[in-house]
Amino acid sequence: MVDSFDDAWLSWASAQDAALGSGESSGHLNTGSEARNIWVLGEVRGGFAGPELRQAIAVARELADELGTRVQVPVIGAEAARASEDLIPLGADTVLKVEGVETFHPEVWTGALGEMIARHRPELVLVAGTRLAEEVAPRLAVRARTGYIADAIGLTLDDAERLVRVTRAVLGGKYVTTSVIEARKPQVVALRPGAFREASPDRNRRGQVVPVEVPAPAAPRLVVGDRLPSEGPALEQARRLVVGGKGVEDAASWALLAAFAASLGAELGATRGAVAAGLAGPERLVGAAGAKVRPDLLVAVGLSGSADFLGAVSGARTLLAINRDADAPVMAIADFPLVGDLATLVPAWAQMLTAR
Amino acid sequence: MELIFTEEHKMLRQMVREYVDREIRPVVAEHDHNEEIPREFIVKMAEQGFLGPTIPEEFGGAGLGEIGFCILAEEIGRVHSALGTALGAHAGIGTTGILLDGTPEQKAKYLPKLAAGEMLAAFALTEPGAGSDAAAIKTRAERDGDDWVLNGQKMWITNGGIADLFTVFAVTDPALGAKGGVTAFLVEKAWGVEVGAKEKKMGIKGSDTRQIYFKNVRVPKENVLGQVGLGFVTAMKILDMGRMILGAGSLGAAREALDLSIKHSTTRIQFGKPIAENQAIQFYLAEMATRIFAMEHMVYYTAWLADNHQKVTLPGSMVKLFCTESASWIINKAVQIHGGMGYSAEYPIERMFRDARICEIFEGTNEIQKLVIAREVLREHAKHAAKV
Amino acid sequence: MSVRSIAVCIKSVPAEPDVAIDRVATRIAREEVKGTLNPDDRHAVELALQLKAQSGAARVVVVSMGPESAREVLKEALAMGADEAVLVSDPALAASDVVGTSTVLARALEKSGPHEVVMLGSRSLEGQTGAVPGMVAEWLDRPLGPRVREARLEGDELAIACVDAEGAYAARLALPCVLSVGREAPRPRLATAMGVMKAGRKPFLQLALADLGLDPGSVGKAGALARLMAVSAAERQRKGKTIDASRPDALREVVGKLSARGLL
Repeated sequence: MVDSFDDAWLSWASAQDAALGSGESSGHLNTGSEARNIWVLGEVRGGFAGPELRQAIAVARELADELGTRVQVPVIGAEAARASEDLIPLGADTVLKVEGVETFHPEVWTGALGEMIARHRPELVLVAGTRLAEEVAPRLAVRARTGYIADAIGLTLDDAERLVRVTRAVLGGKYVTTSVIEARKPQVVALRPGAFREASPDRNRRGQVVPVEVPAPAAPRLVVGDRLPSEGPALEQARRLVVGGKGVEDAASWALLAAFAASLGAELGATRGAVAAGLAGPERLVGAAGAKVRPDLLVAVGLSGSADFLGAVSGARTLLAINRDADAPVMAIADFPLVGDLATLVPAWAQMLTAR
Repeated sequence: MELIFTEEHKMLRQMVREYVDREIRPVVAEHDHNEEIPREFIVKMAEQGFLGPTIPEEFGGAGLGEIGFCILAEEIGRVHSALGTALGAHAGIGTTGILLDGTPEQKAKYLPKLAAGEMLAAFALTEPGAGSDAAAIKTRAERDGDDWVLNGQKMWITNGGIADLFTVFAVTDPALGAKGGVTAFLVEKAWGVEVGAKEKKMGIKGSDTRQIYFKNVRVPKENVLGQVGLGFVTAMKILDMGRMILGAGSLGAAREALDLSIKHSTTRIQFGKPIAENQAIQFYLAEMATRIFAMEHMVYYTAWLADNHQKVTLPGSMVKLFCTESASWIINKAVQIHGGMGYSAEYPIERMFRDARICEIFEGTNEIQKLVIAREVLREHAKHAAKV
Repeated sequence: MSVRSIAVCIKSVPAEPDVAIDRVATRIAREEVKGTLNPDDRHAVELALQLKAQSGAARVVVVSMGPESAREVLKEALAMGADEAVLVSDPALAASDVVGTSTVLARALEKSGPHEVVMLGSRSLEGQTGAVPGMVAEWLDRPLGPRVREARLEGDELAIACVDAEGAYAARLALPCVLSVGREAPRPRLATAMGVMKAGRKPFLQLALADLGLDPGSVGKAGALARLMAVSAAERQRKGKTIDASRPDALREVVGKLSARGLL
């Protein structure tokens, strides 16, 4: 613990300057005293880039083109070669193959990345908003004595200052804020999953895989064990989701909705109003205090669309709403706002599904 | 009300409201329909401290004072009058006797059990021939060695079928009557108290109301409550404290009725606009709100007086009279505002209407309250006139 | 190592996020909006109380940084059963960013400790960064148990269950540690009436910035490394034309379109 950020920064910065030129040349890796390059942290599973990483690379690519710098992605050693076949066509210039790290462990990965960031001084680190944004990136920001902005839904560039302006939503999505990390590098920014589109892969893009050595990690203090059965509905991972609100007035209508969701192959969620009315248990809650969801299809039934709900479903790709009130907030943002009575529409749709 | 409510009172209200929304709202219709509140449901409230609100902490109670008890009664009264009645009979008039006039041994023996819900309590004064004329009770207690033997019958006893401990008023000296001839006893059900069938009622159907019978029930002398012969004094003291709790329950029901009426009248569209835009409805809402404002201040001021050890006979009576009449008026208007829906069993208003009616009758009819109030007012006047 | 003290960092968040806030400045006008205990923090307090019972710890200490609304949520946690409260309140702390907040909390935990286990709610309704637990863990140089739904003391370690994108997994965590607690943790108990009455008598420590020994330039608005530039009302983005479902073929058309997009 230090009492002043400035002391820590100065002593670290001077240590870096002293270390200049002592490491082996590693291609495009930055060993100068000016912060350069955009790093992207995300999940690679079995050598394949996860969707959040793909979205983050698209963002990084656009920024890198404007800034005239490079996109570099650290990947666990064992996965780097396969991952580079995804990452480079998507926009990465360099895959940093971290030698000696064979599987993901938050402490080990934080240690490796922390050391790499200190050595190579990226100017911007974009983080996919997965567990990395909770277990790794915040610790890196503290370690680097730099600022951290999470859950970004938009990024713009201040070219002159080489700074990103980050837009995020607060208070259940009712307000958006714009923030910037000015006084420190790297700027560490985590991106909301689903808020950005991934780019189409360009198979003609060229890039490099560069091996990077890191010090051997200390023994982890968190020891991961077996998988456990998950309890409750998997709302956050659902590709299709039906969410019912207070407008589903009674238990019988709710049962109808549940059956409809099942026949659609969708998970069933509930708004705060529906949980408060006893229609569903709190494990089904979709909202600021519940699950934040990113389904391909979200069917919102009998809910008006409070700010905390709308904020939690902003990652849904297609939103269909069924409501009697054409002016309900959810209807204004739905791709398919259906004005009608759920008591007739839900059974009619269910019937169409069974007819197929 | 900021003058009276402490931070603890506000936290308490918040907590009770959450409990009511979570645990009570979902089951109130079922309890009314089945005409029963399961005993376990009541006993479970002991964990929250609801069964011993005015029992001191040293006996396992919550030590909330009368203001705290009124907050509890108000928030429950919003939603479940039958439960509020059962709770008032147990934690209010069923327990207050021991708190006011109990010996240290009686307190140590019974208060912890009452707070924990191991024993439920009831208050037994009324008889078939003695309602408003409470002095006409006939249940007899005769001394036999170290015991008193009880014979008689009580009627309209709330919690009659579920109570384990009754505060019973019996005649110990027929010649003296109410003034010196009535004694209060703490009678355990296990000593042979018999209960009759559950009464079928217009409202508060979940509340268990019974006749109870004493046939040579032996009560040890240690269970005389207060002094022999001064039972009536004990009864009046207990009832004085009970009235503000009843008032609080009526206040809660009235508030809920107003909230529902506002919700309904602002969403019900007739003639192209919400009915809340009609002056007739607005006048009702204004009168409801005004009465509630008065009720709220009466109830909590009286509770404050009680917590500050002031006499509450007169204020309590006025609270009972005004709050029960106002609540009936307000709920009746709520039915009217809801129109057909106010009459339908699908909505809570009709149950609230049926539940409210008893309040002007029990715990001393409103006519008796008026006699009490008039007597006090005239007595004050006479005192003043005498001085001149 | 046995567990003697469990700390929980809690926060007050606006009770009604839907309530329109008229004055929009570069910090949200907190004083005008009624506060409530952050839902994930409620779960953290519950888990802490359960861990106290299971591990034989002597106390649960709740810690909050904020203005008066923080005092109320500390009282609420005391009414739930926490044993002591620590309030860090100082005008200089206003508009702290997430790094500043975590610095202050870490220092307050050191001052009021030692606490073998520190718990925090995974996310707050207000900020939604999910970063504070990790940062506090880093300042304290402790391992982090992420999105924990269960925790028991077994020997010298905590046996925990964590929730992730694929479901859940078991893990063991060395002491001392930090736990991030999510909504999958046990349902928070309601305060009892006895708890409410006792809350006012429990130890309540108030700390100002000077008590923490932190440089004022490193916290609050002055020390914020992520500088807030602007706040504005969110704009609705999508606009589909409303479809009158009473038209006989309306639903069929919609279902057809969804099918064409491969969504059904």
